[in-house]
Amino acid sequence: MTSKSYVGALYQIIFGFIFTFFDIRIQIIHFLPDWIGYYLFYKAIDVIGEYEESAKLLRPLIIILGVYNGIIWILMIMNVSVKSLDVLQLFMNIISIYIQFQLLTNISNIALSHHFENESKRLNILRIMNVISVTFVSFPVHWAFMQYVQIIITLFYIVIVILLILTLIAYVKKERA
Amino acid sequence: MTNIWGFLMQTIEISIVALILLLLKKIFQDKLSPRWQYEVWSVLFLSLIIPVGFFPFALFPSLHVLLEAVKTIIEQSFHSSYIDIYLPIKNITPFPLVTDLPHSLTDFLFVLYVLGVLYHLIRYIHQYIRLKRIIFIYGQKPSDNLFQKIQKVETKYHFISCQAIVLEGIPSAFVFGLFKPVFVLPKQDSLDEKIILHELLHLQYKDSLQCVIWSCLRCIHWCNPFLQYVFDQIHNDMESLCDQRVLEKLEGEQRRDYGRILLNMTNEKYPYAFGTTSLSNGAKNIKKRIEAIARFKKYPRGMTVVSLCICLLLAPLSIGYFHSYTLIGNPYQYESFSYQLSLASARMMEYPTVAGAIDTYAKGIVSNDEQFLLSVLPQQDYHDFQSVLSQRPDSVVSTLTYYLYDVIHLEKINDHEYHAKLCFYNQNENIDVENNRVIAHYTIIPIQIKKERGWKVKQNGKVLTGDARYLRTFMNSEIYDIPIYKIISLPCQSGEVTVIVRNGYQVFGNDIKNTPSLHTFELRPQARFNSGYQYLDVIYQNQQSLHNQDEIEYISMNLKNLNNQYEDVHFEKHDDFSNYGLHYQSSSNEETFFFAKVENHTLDKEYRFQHISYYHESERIHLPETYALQIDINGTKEMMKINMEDGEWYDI
Repeated sequence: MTSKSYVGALYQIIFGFIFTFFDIRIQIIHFLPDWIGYYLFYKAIDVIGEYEESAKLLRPLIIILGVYNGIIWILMIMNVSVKSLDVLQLFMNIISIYIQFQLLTNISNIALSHHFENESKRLNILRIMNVISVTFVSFPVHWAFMQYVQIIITLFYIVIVILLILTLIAYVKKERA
Repeated sequence: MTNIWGFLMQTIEISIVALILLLLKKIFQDKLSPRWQYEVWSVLFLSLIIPVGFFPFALFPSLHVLLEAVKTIIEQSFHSSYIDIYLPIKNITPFPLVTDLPHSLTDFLFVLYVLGVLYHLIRYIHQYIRLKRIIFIYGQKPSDNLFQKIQKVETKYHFISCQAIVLEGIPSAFVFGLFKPVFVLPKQDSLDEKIILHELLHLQYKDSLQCVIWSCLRCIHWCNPFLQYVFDQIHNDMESLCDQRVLEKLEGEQRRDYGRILLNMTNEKYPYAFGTTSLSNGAKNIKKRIEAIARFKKYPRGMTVVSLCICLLLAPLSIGYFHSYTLIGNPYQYESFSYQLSLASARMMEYPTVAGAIDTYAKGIVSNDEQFLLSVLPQQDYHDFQSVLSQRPDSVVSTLTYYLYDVIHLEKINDHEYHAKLCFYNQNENIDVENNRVIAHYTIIPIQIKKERGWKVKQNGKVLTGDARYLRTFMNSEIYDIPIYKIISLPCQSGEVTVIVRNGYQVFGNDIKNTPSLHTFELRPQARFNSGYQYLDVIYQNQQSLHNQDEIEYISMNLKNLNNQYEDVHFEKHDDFSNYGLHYQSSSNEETFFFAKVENHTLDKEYRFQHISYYHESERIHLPETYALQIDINGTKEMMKINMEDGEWYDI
């Protein structure tokens, strides 16, 4: 496996995170669909799996999430309500938390084996922060009654996501060099 | 659980939670640690101890409605003493309670179920006492060799010393007891250190106590084979977790040895007894444990956080995942099952807010929707609901544009009861041409709002109808002269002030404007009064002596909203009255200034001005409870505070 393909896989993961983390919607059309993010993860996982065997376990989970989000995306374009699917959504949130955590763990381990200790350490911290923020964002309580809590959680989530993407970009640059 | 339907609802809901957890465990079987695989059952534990129906949520509300409808149909032909056919199924306790002598088939079925629970409990207790007696009568002290071996393991892995007893004839070692568990060993000197380690870990984590708790819960659901299977899985997961803990303490070849020990136990029977934990738990389960051992790895440190976060996300399953009940459409074929379903859904509805219940009642009255009305009907009227509903006010029309009704005279009687009057206006009646004012036909329904299963609404007096004059529109609120809230009279140094208060609360929403038909009102169980006005008509009469009155050049008044009666008051300053002419008034939502010039030393009989406070928030509003009034006569000022709690209720 060449380092070039690993760097390519890292870029796919960065774009995958951008697609899964951010939403740009104009009316009913979602311009950063999550399923594209999961497709990019799926493409990257072969390369990551060459370095870290446990990453290959993520493949079926990524397919499940990709297909689910693809269906949701089509339903939303057709203006079909997906509110009643919230127990299924709970499943998907849990799978998503695990995928993100495991993927970042694998990348952190590879970074450590490539002697990028600082990046590995930062990714280790950010993967946990990311799990906590995604959990609170996905928690099924209507935070409306605690508007300030909701604002704090959302801000925390955005900060973590931006830090995570910036850390990954910094790491890719070092790998390229 | 006081009846068979309560048990059915409890066991079905728990089975659904268990099914969800089993599916998740299957997905994460080779991905998450045995620690998570066992700890995730804490969500099921919560489901088992929280009575279904205790919260106004259900995991699948339609399933509850279905069971409620079936209950109503079946119980109609019985006269059960444990069940009221119309009262929604609600469990107060997670365990069964017999409250009376049985009368019907379903009562006897419930008694049979309770006897089953007792049988299983007694069987477990009997087993426990018997085993305890055997251990303490026939148990012997371990040989020196064995004792030293146990002590060596205790020292090596920093365990607290425990009582060990050797018992002849038992197939494998186990831990027994609730609060002071003992380590029971078979009579053999060659007992492996790893077996000792396994059992000491059970002791350290009080697994035998956990086994007892799970077994008691197993008794409650003895007739649900799926849950029996789930409880077996829980026990296996507990053993797998203990294996994981053992493997974490062992190294390389020792781990393989541990697997071999387990492999040698595959021929042994499952020697489970109440209040014990045992290394051996049957061939089939041991096979699964060996597979788990083959997968053994040390999980990353952050995995604990992931496991906790997943459990946190799953926790709401135990209270119904915040799914509220909703109304099922009312079919026109009476006596059909769908009709019973729709009635059941109406009875199951819960209104957590006073405004939500009033809103549904008002919409039911205007649209003649019996299901809306039934959903807020007090439980005492369920048996006679058709005749109660037939006595409702009919032909009530509301032509208001932004909201359907005014809630006036809202009075809190106690924490569980409110009184109010529901006021509807029909503006399409006629116009008072002389005064160029719209005259609306009003219908006022006195209501009582009581807390039962959520808030319920009932008509509480005679319906009043009549004509009301339109006063003004303020921020989309039409104000009429009918809903007087209070008349407050206050003496002051220079005369007397009378304040006529009108106020109204509304549930403001766009469902009125966008509703093409009155039969498609949106149900808002959690509505709050998010819009309202308080209209004050302030009348001042000067009662000073004629000599003093002759000297008056002007009278000005400031009225200001206060948050409470102790708040400091700072009025707007108005020093230059020369531009105001004879009369002047300026108003804002918070303050009104009134000015009148006295000409020819002749005072008017009374000086009158209006002040309106209008509030519209997304969540809820608070109307002012106190006002400050300042009267300024020729620069001599006096100030008073007007408390809305004072004064008398205006009787319509």
